[in-house]
Amino acid sequence: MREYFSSLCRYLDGQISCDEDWSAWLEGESTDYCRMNNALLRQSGQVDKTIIKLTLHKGLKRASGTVTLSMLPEEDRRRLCQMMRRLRSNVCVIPDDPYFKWCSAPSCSTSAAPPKENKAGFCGRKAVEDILQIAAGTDFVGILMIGWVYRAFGSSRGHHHWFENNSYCLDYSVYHHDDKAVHDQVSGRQWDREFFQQRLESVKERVSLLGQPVKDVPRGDYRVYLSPAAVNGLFSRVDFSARKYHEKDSWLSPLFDGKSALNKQFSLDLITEDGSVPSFQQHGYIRPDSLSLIKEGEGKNLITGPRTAEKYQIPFNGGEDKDFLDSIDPPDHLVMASGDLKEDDICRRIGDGLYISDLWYVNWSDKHSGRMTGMTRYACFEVKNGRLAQPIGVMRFDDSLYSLFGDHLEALTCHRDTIMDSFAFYNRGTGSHVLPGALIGNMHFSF
Amino acid sequence: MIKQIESSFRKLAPAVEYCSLRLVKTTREVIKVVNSDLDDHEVVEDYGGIISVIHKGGSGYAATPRLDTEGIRNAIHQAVEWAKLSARYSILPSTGLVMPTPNGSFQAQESQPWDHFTLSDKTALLNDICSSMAVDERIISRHGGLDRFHQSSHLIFPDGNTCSQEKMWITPSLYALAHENGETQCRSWGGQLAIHVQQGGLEHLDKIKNDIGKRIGDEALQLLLAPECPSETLDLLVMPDQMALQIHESIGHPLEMDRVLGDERNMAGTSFVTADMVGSYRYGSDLLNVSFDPTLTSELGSYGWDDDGSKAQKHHLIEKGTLKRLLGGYLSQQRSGLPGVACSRAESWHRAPVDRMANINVEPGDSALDDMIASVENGLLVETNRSWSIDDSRNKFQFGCEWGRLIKNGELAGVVRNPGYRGISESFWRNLKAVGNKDTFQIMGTPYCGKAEPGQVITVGHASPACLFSQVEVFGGSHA
Repeated sequence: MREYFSSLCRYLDGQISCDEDWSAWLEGESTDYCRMNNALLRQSGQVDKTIIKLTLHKGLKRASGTVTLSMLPEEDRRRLCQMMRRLRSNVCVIPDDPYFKWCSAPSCSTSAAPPKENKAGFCGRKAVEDILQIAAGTDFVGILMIGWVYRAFGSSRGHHHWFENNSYCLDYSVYHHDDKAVHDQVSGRQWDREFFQQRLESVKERVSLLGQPVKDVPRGDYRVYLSPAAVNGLFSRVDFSARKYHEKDSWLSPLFDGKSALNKQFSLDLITEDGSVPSFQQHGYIRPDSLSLIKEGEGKNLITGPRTAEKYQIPFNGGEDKDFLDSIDPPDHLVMASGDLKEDDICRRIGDGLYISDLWYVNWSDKHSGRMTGMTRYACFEVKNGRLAQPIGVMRFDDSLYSLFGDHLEALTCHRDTIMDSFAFYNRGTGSHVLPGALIGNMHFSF
Repeated sequence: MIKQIESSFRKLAPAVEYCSLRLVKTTREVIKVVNSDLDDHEVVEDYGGIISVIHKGGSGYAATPRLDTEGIRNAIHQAVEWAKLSARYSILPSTGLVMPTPNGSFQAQESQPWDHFTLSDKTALLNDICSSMAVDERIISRHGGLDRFHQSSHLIFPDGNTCSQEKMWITPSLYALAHENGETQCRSWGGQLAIHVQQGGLEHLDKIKNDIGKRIGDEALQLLLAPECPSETLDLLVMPDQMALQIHESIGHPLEMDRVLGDERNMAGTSFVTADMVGSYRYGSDLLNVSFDPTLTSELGSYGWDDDGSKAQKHHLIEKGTLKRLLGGYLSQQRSGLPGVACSRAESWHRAPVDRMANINVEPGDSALDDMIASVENGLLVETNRSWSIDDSRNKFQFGCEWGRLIKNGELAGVVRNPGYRGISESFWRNLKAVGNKDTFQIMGTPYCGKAEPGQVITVGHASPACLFSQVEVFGGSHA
């Protein structure tokens, strides 16, 4: 795939005139997707898809177009040539874009899976048979995604960035009854049958706790423990966009205007240095190894794309200028500082309250004050006298992030989970977050 | 090109109970204007195919952009291998599956094609609208966008039949932000879910050519100056652009058969609806009539056949408040033993079909809007969704809206900002106390319905009159 991209880059070099430049962003995957229910296969198959987003630069004008590659050299050259002609036609009528910037200084990088891993990890049919044999007899439901993901950037100025990842992610739940289940995720570079077997045994032990009668807890304020997955749920709608902040449309305004602070324990970084996400962005810039977003409760950096940087005359720091629905510049690899709360001590520290294993369907109640709402999901329990008591019915929280991660944040766990982006909307993503659990002194539940 | 691919596929088709090739070609153009600047312009050309195989209860697929003989041969091989494996562990019945293999075509109506306006014309239209939003210096940001899709598909079978469909739609997106003294308010046309979207062409943009920009700017400013929505329990008048979201989340999704069968439990969730409720469950008051109708001209979720080849037909889902039918395609119907609808749909060629909504509509009633308002002593009118959240059984919901107006003693009163309301699907629809007549009825939809593993985003249509609900808990916003 890498050589194929290089050959298309060489072809594009011959398609421009001396007052033009081209740049190209590639996203590709070759993935086995296996969807399971009742420990049986519901849908399974293979998806090969690679797109190139081609941009033609001419002075202060630029035009972009995306084509899906057929992986047939002649046909793909025809598609790119046709797209280039269309972009050249569009550039003539598009006004100057005074804010658009791309990295015209060439750079190269490579992040590739070690050759040894290449074959062993990519075996969807073997992995799914392992899963279904091991999970037999349980009410197992979920998805296995296994295979290659590619990202690349090239340009007429000599950029050549390549990122590839051969990995799997098994996102699954084991149900006890109705909506009572334990949710889990295992991921890695190579499928490991024994690891999954051990993990499922642990999940089954937790599922057995869900057989007790379900308690409907009344609305009100509770001490709670949020697992790393629940903390991830809170982050599902959160952006750190400089553009939104400068448009006065950000939940972060109180923090970055100095009107509110978060708890000193709360520190959050955007990381690329561990190689799990590309180290380059869609306009050819190298992303910093790490970017501190929040440090000990204080706002440090907002994610800034090149266009936003130019528009508001602020420093660029590796962000994109993407815009989808209400969320722009979604962080792809957040790492949150851990604390000192030990796993064994969680229920004792809750005392009387709620153990929340997951938060779901989170959205803003009042974005500009940081107020969010969402639902508890999966294995959530009432905690009494420092012990898990009984499972609870689903509850809706409605509270401010400035409260939950401000005065009411009592402790963070020393253990952190890596939670992969398993949604695969449009294509298979590369993102993941590394997050601790959080002990919250007071969380409001509206019903 | 299509003929060549059809021919290759038919020559290579394996000896299995069912095999199809679904080709999908999508072209897309996105134009975005912020204030008076062209913020983004992009064109997209996407083309590929998916081979689906069912044999002895096993199923498999392979999605490929490579549509020469070798590419199709390889995809067939992969799909067959997956089907062989699946047969040993399949959730589908091992015998008796007879998938439809239709022959025919469907063409969405487009009276004014996208290319009738130049790129400059479209950019100028958005610039004009954004300019007219600038009614006051407190309007700090003005956004306009057009997102045009054209999708043609061919569902090809080895027996010589092919089902061809062509659809197109334009999603307009317009909003303004007003800001003063630390407060920001957003007013849009249709909200983040772009609810004013229909199949067709530029003819639908007539709706945004008039005074829409000025109205958005005026209303953003009114919201900035308005008091917070009170927190109390009162009558709620839901206008059609919020009804679309209400229908979508608390009727459409709970009725999807794959949720009832458990397929979605690890992602989108399950449903409070169970199979035994069909035919008897009291979903809403006697005033509630809901249909599944993918045959309506111009509504976003219209088509001739679903992506498994089932013929699109209208069915009543809820009649006089009683649940009559679930949303399940052919395979879900075979698994559940329940009647369903033609709703097995896929986002594009790289995804396999699952149970989806198409057009899910609340039928108009006989109440005039003025009469509904006059009947309310203490109430709230809400328009335009800005936040949506519901539990994984599609029961406990909380929705935020952009625009609220109090209703006092039978008359519309002041504007309130940050209006939101909560409810439980099971009881909410039973509190439906009036349904607006045809004069209040509007056709809407969204291109952004997300579901399934791996994720798929698909178009759905929702048409509804204004509806009045009793005893709903409402609330406003607050600051940190």
